[in-house]
This record gives sequence, structure tokens and C-alpha cells, in this order.
Amino acid sequence: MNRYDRQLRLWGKEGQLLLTQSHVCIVGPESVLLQETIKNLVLVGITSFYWFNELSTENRDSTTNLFYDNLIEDMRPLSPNEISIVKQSIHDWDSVMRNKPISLMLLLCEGQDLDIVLRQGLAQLQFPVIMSYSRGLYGYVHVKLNEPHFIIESRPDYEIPSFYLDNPWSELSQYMESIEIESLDEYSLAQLPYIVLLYKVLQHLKSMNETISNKMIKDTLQDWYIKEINLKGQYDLNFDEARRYSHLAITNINFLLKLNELNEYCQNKSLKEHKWNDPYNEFATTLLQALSIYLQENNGNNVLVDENLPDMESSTKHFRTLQKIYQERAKTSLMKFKGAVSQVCVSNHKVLPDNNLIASFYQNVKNIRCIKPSSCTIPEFLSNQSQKDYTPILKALISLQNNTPNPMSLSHFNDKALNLAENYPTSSLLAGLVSEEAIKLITHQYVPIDNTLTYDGMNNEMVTGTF
Amino acid sequence: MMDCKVLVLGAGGLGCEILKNLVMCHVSSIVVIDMDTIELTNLNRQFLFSDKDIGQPKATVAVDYIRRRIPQTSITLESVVRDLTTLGLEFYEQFDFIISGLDAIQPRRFINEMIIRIAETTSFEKLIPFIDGGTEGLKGHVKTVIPGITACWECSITTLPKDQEMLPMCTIINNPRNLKHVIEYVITSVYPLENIDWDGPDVDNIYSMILDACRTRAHQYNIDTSELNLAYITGIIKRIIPSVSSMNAIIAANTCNEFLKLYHDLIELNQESGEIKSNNFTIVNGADGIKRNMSAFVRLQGRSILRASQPLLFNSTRIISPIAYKIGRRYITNLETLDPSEKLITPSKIINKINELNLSISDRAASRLSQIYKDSQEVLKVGIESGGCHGFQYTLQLIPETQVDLSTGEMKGTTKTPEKDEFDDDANSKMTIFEVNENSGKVVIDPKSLKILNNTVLTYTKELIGSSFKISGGSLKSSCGCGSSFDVDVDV
Repeated sequence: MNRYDRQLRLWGKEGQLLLTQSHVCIVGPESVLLQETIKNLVLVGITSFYWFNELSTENRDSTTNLFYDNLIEDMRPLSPNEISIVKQSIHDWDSVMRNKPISLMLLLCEGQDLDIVLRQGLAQLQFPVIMSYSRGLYGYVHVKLNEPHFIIESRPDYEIPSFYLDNPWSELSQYMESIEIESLDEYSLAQLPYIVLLYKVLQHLKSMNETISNKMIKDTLQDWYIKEINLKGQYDLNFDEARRYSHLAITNINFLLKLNELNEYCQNKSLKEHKWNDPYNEFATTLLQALSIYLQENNGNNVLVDENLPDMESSTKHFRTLQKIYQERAKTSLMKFKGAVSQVCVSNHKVLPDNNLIASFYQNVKNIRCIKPSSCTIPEFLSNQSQKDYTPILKALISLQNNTPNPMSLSHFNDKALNLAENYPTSSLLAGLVSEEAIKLITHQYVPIDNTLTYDGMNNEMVTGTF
Repeated sequence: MMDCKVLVLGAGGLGCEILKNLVMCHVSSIVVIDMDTIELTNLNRQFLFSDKDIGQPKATVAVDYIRRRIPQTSITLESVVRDLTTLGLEFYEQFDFIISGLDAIQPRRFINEMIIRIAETTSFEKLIPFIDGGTEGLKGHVKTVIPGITACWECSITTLPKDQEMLPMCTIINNPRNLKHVIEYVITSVYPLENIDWDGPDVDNIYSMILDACRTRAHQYNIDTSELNLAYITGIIKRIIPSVSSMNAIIAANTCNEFLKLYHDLIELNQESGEIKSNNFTIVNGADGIKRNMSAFVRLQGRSILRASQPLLFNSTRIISPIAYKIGRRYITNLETLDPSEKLITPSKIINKINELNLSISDRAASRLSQIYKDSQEVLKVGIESGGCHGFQYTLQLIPETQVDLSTGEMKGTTKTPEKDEFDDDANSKMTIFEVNENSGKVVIDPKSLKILNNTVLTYTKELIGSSFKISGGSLKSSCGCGSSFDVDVDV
């Protein structure tokens, strides 16, 4: 068994590799939030950190309640690999930012320390910055992207399959036509996959010459299939599935519109000339462009067939045959898509994405997500002018972080909750959120927040807003 | 120093985090209980352990780590390496709080029963809050149970995801289509799991034997085996749950904040109902379960489970998030807040009427049933399950009308095969169906439940927080603090 088995089940070897290869820049003095964040990241397998720990000479509270006495030493037993946490002085800022391969920055400071960092300037940074602050039972996390962030494996909980029954390619329609449902007995009919029933219903409705609605499909299943073909089919599981998934008879291709929009966004002038910081994001734009060419060259929407046919009630034989038909189609389509990718790379002088990434893009084509960077800079986010839309809690937290607390803005809080001495769990919670966002950004799997999350421990609420 | 005695259940991913947080909050006395030993795959999140501790008991190593890290502490720390269900009231009643980071359901039900018994035997003088955390991958939950005040843990048992999807036996035996079907066959028919000696010397061998048998069967049915390996079958056999440090930290901290709020008296109670005002059931989904931009990261579904589930079920936008949807599909009724003076309707038809047994339907319930039927052709299935802290609880569930045969009252379930009867294990499945109006809403109920619910009224109430169906009257006698489970006066 692998030490990382429990998380490999979440993001696979590809995600894990990106984590082990990443370099995280941390800005802030040693605090609970900072210690806990580094601990979480070391545990998942990140090994390289640059840490700007000494910023201002501000008097620190010597009674700070830290769990680790010697953070760097105490992290070693938590990883099978050598951990490198390199402390950096603020004077090294420019050279670190220019010369080190940083994946993302965690900005975990307040007051004078924050002022010093802001004076160094964050505008030229290309990588994502995650900023966080906590106080009492409250806290927030803000993710500032500096280029569009793409997610190919967004891993949604539910996926809607596409069968292309309304637009079949020749192998699929040949197979469907080879099944003569009129001559089958009730037992053989019960063994048919439900998509065969839906196909037959579509064929039956074709003569009607009008737009086919979901209701028409449902009615036809009942009025034609049950009344004329399979009188005893009412209780068959495949009939049940056919009714339940009748909406899948007509292929939904709305995702293509979204991808098209996304491609247009990437092809606009400012992004075309953008020097990408993260090669993954650049690959994603190449793949999007290739997809658009591929779709133009291969007319019809049945050229993005998924090789994984979802399980459905059926005899093994029918299911296997259908599965093969979808797999073959997916295989040839993927080959053609790869051709389009090479074509785009050659004509635009781009690096060819890895074969696995191309295949993953093809397979996840319905799940591709992109979080666009907000134009609001971190100093703007922290300044008072732009705070109109902020929740009262976010406003108050920022004023406390800036060390300019405003009695008015604090009046929304429960006093006791704001000044609770036992802030350790809340800091630990925020550190969990910061690490989770860092993991999502580095692995390009699962969708990060867009772009600010406020935690209210008093009411057990987490609210996300985009600023 | 926080002066109280806290029991931490489990020293795993959540347990390590909870223990550390409590120590850092200076809780004066902490006991950790866990019967497991440390394994390599724990080390990606259980940060109180390292490679050299593999094979050692978790509770002991965790407490030793804390003592080493904070040698001068005045906190009383104790570890118990034991199956927690072997301990009795006299053990549990010494604590002021119980915080749980367990990964199994049975011990949680056991603890729930313990705290309710302690509350009852002390005439509700000793109420031990039970704060329960759980994670699965990038998702997690926190439930706070205060016996007599909130819904008890048993009440929310229907919010748990099903262990696994139930596969029809004929799929597993005759029509396997993927590796899961193959493995399910091997571990039920070839090497039944319950016959395996998991502590025996051959346990490693067993896995490779299962793997071989799976491979053979997959080939026989022409099923692709490229994903089939030891890790894959272990994952299915042991029902391995993915886990990561970040979500464990989030959920553990959440349980500790619940504890802090109770300790510092920061939780307000509703004066009239006695329900606690702040959210006491929280679900966190870090995988982007929510599709709206405004809340693209986390959704917290708050409030007592009794109340939270009801508006979710009958909102016009039905599916709020997959998790919320799961909660909404089944929920529990509250016996207390009913209006007995409501008008009743006469059903247009009763299919499979049983003499002397009747369930009345109120006017409001009838019109709501008709509306639901019109929108989605769904009918309300009423059932009684054993469970709950007092023996029975209701389940109300909307099901597609097509699941019931309206002429015979039979529930549908199995693929039609010549051996159909062999798979039809529910012989007593003829339902009684109350039809509100012709071709309209229906209430479907099995005879056993109807016997218990005889002479009760199904009604639909509108409240501040949400609307819901409820049942009242008859021989029901509510006796649990939360009202969702109940005793009956008749012999069943």
C-alpha cells in the first residue's frame, strides 16, 4: 500500500506528481494559521517552501499559542521525503520572485507586516496568491488569480452521459437496427439496455415530423412500447430506466456553446499575447483551440463520444456489444482530435501537450472549467473604497487585518465570539481551507473558490463572494 | 484553562486534529479512545504519528506525542485502547462533552443511546453534548446532538449515504457488466467475506485469491481488467474512504468550535420551541458541489435536521445540491406541532383497503399531494421503520407513481427473468393506496405501517422555516426529545 493511497483516490498519480513538484511561497510571521497550513501541505506531499518570515520589527506577542516549537524540524517526520523550508529575508523579495519556480503564494500576515509586503508590490506576480486572516470565531480566505485557471478534471458529483441516439454514427445505428424488438419475447425485451428502447422510441417518433419533446418520448414508451410491443414490460427495470432517463434520448450539446465561448475568451488579443506562468493553463488553451478546429473539420456533434458507457440494466452480451461500439468510436475520435492538437501546435509554435493530458481533455470535455482572474488587485481588495459589496463580517475582518478597526463595522459581531481566547480551532479551520485551495490550484483538479470565502463560526456559515 | 472533561472518540484523521485543538484550547482533562493500530496509509493526515509508530495503538501514540510536545502541561491526558461499545454508562457519565471523529456508524449509534440514557436516568440533569464529525474525500459533516434539546443522532440516520448501491442479484449472478459486479460476486459467492478469518495468517493470501477469482470471472464475461489490481479490490472490500489532511482539519476544527460555543454559552435557544438557534448540522463540500457563483465552494446546510430537511424537499427548485437532495428525499415527522381541527377529505378510491384500518388525509395535505402529482407524477410513500431512540420512526418519501402497480398494489423491483420469484424476497408487499381524487395525488402505505398508524391524520403544515407533511393522532405517543421516534400503545 502507498502512503498516499487515501488521497490518490481523490486526484490520482497525475495530481500527486504536480503536488510533489510544486514550490510554495509563504509570506508571514510564524502563527497558528501559518504552522497549520504548512503542516497540511507537508502531509499531502509538498516538499519545497520559501518562507518570508521576518517582515517588520513589530513586537510580537511572545505568548502566542503555537503547537510546534521548531516548525522546520517538526515537519520532517511528516514526510518520507526531504523537506526544504527556506527562510527568506524581505530584502530577497525581488530575486526570489524573479528566479524561483513558484507555484503559488500564501499571504498570511496582518498590520505592519502586510504593509511591508504591499510595498514590495504584488502586481507583477504571475502565480495565484491565497490570502487569509482569522480572528475569534471568524475568518476569510481570498484567492487572487493572475491568469485564467483551467480545470480539466473538475470531478463533478454527477455527470450526464451523452449517447447520441438522435444522431448516431453508422456502427451504432446498424447495431440498433439489428435488434428487431417486434419479434422478441418478453424475457429478451427485459434484457435490452434502456438506450435501445429510447432509440426505438425516437425512430417511432421520427415519422411525426415535429420537434420531439421529453413528454412525447415518455408517452410513446407507455402508449407504444407497453401497449404494442411488450405488454408485460411495465415492471421491467430497463423500462423503468428508460422512463427515468428519457431526457437523455435527445443529446444535450450545450457544453459546446460554453467551450466555444471559453475558446473565444482565450483567443482575444490580451490573452493571445499573455506569457503564461503555468504550462497547464497554456496547454488548456491550446486544447480548446484544437477542439474548435476538430469540430469544424468533423461535422456533427457525435465526434466527442465518451468511451465509458455508464452501467445500465442489460444482459452482459448486449452491454458489451454496445460498450465496444462506443469505445471504438471514442478511440478513432481521440486519434483525430490528437491530429488537430498537433496541427494547432505546429502552426502556432506551441509545445505539444502530453498524450495523457490530451486524452484527459477529450474524456472530460463536458467538465472543463475555467476560473477567470478578477481585475481587483490585493491592495484594492484590502482598501476601503471597494468594500461596498462586502458582507459586514468581511469588512470587519479586513479592518482588523489592516489594523484599522472601525467600531461601527465591529458592532455586527458577537463581542465574545470576536474576542474568544480559544481561536486555535478557527485558525486551524482557515488553514484547512487555505491548504485545500492550494491543493486544488496546484493539481488543477476540483474547482477552487471564486474568489472569497467568509467563515462565521457563530452561525456555522461559509459564504462565498466574487470581488 | 477550560475546566471540563472531554472524551474524544477515535484517534484517526479527525481524532488527531481534535485532540491537538483541545490541547491548544487548554481543556483541563481529555480522554482519547481508539482500538486501532497505526497503518502506513494513515500517515497522509494523522500527523501525531510517523513511520516508526506503525503497528502501535493509535490512542497511546497520540497521547504520548502530545506529552512529548508539551511536557510541562497541566492538562490531564489519558488514552484508552478499547472497543468503545464495550464500555457502559459508568464510563460515559464522567464526561462533560463527547467529540467524535469515528468512521463507522454503529459506535455513533451506541454513543447516542448512551447519552440519551444518561439524560433519562438523571431526569435530564446531566446532558452530555455529542458533537460528531465525519469526512469523505473533500466532503464532510458536523452534527451537534444535545439529548432532550436537539434532534438525536438516530433521527438523522437517514441523511447517511447508502453503504453502496444495492445491485439486483440477477445482475451479479447472470449479467455482470463491470468490475464491481465481478468483485461483488466473488466476495459473496466464491469467498464470502463473512467466512474469512481476518486475523489469520493467510489474510494476505486471501486478497490474491480473490484477485485471481475476479480476473477469471471478468475474462469469462469479457470485461476489461486493466483497472483490476490489489489496491482496487481492497478499496471495494474494505470500503475505503478517501481522506486528505485539509478536510480533516476543517471538520475537526468545526467540531471544536461547536464545543467552544457550548462551553462559553454562545448558543442561543429558541425560547418557545427549545430548539437551538444556530445551525447544528453542517455539511461542507469542497469539490464544487454547488453550481452558483455566489457559493462556489461550500454549502452549509444548517439547523436541526428535523427542520432543515423539510423545506428542501418541497421547494420549487427541488435539487439544491446533491447532498441536500439526499437529505430531502427522506425525512422524519415531528409529532408535536399539529392542528387537530383540520378538515379531512374522503379519498376517491382506496386500493387494497384493509377493514377497520384507516389513515385520514387532511384537506391541506390532499391539495399539496395533488400539486406534487401534477408537477412530477410522484406519490407519497409512508412507512414505519424500527429505529430511533424509542423503537419506531416514520419515513415519508416521494416516489414516482410508476414504482407502484396501481391495480395490485405491488411495489416493483426486479428484472423479469424466468426465476423471478427467487429474487422477490418481500412477500408482503401489497400496498394500500389512498387516492385523493381521481387521477391525482396518492398515499401509498404497507399494511404493517398502516396498522401502527391506524386512525392517524396525515396533514400538511406551513411553518416559518418550511412546510411539510406530518402525521398525528391515533395511538402514537411521542417520547423522545426530538419527537421523531415514538412508542405505540398497541401490540405490533
